[in-house]
Amino acid sequence: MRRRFLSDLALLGLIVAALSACGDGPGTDAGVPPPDPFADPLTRSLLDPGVSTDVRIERILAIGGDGSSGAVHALLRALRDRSQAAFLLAPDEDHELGYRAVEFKKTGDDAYPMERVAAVVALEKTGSYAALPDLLLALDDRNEVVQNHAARALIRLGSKAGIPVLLANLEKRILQNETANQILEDISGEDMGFNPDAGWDLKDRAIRKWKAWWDGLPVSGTRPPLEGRPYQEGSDPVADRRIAFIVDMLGQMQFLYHEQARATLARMGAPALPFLRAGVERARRSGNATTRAGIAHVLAHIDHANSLELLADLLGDAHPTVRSRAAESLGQRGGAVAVRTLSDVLGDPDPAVQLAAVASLGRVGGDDAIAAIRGFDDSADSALAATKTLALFEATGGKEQREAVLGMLLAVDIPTRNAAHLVLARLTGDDAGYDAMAAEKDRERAVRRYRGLLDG
Amino acid sequence: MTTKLIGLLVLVGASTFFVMHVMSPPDGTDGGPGADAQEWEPPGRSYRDPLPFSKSEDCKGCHPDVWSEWYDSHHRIAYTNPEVQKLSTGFQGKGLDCLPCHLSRPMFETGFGVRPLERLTRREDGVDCFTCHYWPEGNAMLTSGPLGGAASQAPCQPAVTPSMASLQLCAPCHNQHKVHEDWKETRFAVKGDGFKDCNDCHMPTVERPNAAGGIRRGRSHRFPAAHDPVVLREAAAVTQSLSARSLFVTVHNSGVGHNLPSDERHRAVDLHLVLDTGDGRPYDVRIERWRNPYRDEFEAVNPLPNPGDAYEKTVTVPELLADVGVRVKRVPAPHRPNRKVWYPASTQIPAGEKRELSITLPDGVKAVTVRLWYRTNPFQPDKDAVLLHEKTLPE
Repeated sequence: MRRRFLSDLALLGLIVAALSACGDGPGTDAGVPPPDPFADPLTRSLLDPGVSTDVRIERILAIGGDGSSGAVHALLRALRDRSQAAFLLAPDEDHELGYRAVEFKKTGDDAYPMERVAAVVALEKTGSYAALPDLLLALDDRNEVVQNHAARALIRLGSKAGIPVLLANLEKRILQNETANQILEDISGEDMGFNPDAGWDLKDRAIRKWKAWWDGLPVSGTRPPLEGRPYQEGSDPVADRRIAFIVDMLGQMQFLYHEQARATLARMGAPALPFLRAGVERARRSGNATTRAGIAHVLAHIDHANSLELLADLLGDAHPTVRSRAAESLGQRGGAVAVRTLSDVLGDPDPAVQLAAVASLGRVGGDDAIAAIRGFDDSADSALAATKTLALFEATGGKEQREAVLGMLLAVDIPTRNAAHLVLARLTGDDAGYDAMAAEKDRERAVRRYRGLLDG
Repeated sequence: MTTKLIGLLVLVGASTFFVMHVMSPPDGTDGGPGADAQEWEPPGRSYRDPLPFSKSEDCKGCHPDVWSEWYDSHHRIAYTNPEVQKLSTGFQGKGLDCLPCHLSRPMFETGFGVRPLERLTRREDGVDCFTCHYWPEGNAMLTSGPLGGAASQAPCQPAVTPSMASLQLCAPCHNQHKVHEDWKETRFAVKGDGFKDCNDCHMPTVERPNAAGGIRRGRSHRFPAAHDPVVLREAAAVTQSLSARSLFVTVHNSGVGHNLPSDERHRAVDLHLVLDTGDGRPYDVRIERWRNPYRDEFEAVNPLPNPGDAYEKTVTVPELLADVGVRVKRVPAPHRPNRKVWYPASTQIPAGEKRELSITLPDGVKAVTVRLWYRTNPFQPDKDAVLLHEKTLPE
């Protein structure tokens, strides 16, 4: 009887759920739209379509230096651009981390790059670590000048993630390369003689000097004069909550949100590690394997001993995809520890994890990896044999299985072609003009090109 | 407050349902799925044994008709489809994020409303039987029974949860592109006689022979949708009339339970005119395109953001050195006259809405053919696209 009652209660719940799902549409509560989280007077004044762009820029710059959470909140909204944001963090006191994700849509207020430059400059003046995730994302802005200023703001927050972006922008057009050079000079205190009005020979010479400076930084141990202290968990409660929320976004439904969260956390580097560790623990408690799998992907990009430790932990995860992604990430990290660990992972009961491990061993290469690949039993799944062939080819630098792999480029099924091409491109650094959809004679040309590169 | 109360009730109800119908091993003490427990537990195996299957092919022996339907479906080629491989750049780089929905592990593993995870293996099976039916505790989950009789001896240990019919089973993948959000805005989502959900159109009822020689009703696993020309041609109703140089065309999203095309950003619906000037050459010109642009198409704007809006433009026919004058009006759907599209830059036609086009043809046009094309990606040539409508005027 009690069981029947509970069952009826359950049914009622489902009916209510279904009615709720068939309600008035997205983001509405019984027909009433949720309050606009960016409707506070300060944010509205920065986005006011009733005034000119110049006035909005003046307003944005005027609040630079105000590190209050309200000012930072308004500036982050003004910073947004569809090219680098799928979601915005909207304050929400009902959420334990104090935020909810609001999907960002193009509404016309993202058209003016100078407003975004102003927002970055103002955020830099606030010195607030709460802006760190958003500035990392601004490195993907569709306008290079915004990217350059974000790189500068990030250095003050202890992150060098923007320097490769600045180096790349030196090769872009006037103003883009000019601001990149100016900011590199500000950051480093150096002058490499870059002249945006000079010919490309002279510019190339300066660009090479900048690249040498960047490559030499880890060796010399020099800190750029402008570089601030890297973020540490616990030093800013707002930043802590924002970063933790972004970690949780790795487990949500929208793939665009995953993409944004992954890019942000990967660029954050080592300071993100404690948040990722806590995210794994939260996701284990809640049973969210998607978050853990997302974290495994992020860890491929964080070059720090502690990230290897967390990857090793994820290799023992209950969910096979978390383990397979951890194996992939370990392969991207490389090194002797990775080979030893991945060799053990070849014995995982799930063929998908085996597949990731054997592919990763191929990527890392070396005698121990080759021995492990050779000894691998590929009988558990149809995809394993091809993966083993590709792994052996890659691990031996193209010495073994060459014809088999080149033959895969001519295979009937496109996934096999693509898998072979991926490894060939990685090994040779050349895409050989390969097009998966091209006619066979065109793909034969790619085979000849790869054969030449491998022979050479 | 009301929302929270409803939320709490839903949570309690759903959790209870989950525990009662799904999580708990059936004990045969009362009604519901547990009633058949003692019957349907296969001898010699415990209830929580893993399924003795590893691939969809293993389901074929007992379910050949369902298996054949799935085998011919686009779910099966979700990974291997050349078009998908091309558009996802071989599931590498940014395409990596497409993998979990094109080579999915069981939805029950990650849960409803959460994105699934990828499996890497059995790539030829794409979205397979296991994706929807595999319950990690060792059962094949079904929407409904019966579970007694022969089914009680089935090696897949069938169990029932009505949540299998829930839209939340489809949403983790298909709402990546807001298809469910679009559906919620339609008349089909209104409870009553006209109610239709995903299953009604994309898993229609079919009859198949059963093992005893009779007929059993079930749901199609062919998933008719954008790759089925018959279904596509029911999506839009087109009318046209010609008076001297004035052509009037309406395109009505009359048959779709979501936007036309759906909010899969690759899809496009194009209205073309083929002008006949009597010189024996067809002058084919695209008049309008309806689609949700890619995220990096920053220049794309929707000129008709609100129901009732209209805009004018000219379309040049270079070979004729002439312009076609076009005025487009957005006619709202009767059931939701204030509907806004989800993405401001999208020009998709929401369900029930019309686009009225008043077109002024160039001088010298003797006849005009109106064509409506459906393209599964915006780069698709006519030879690969589906012609939804064609009419030549004057008749």
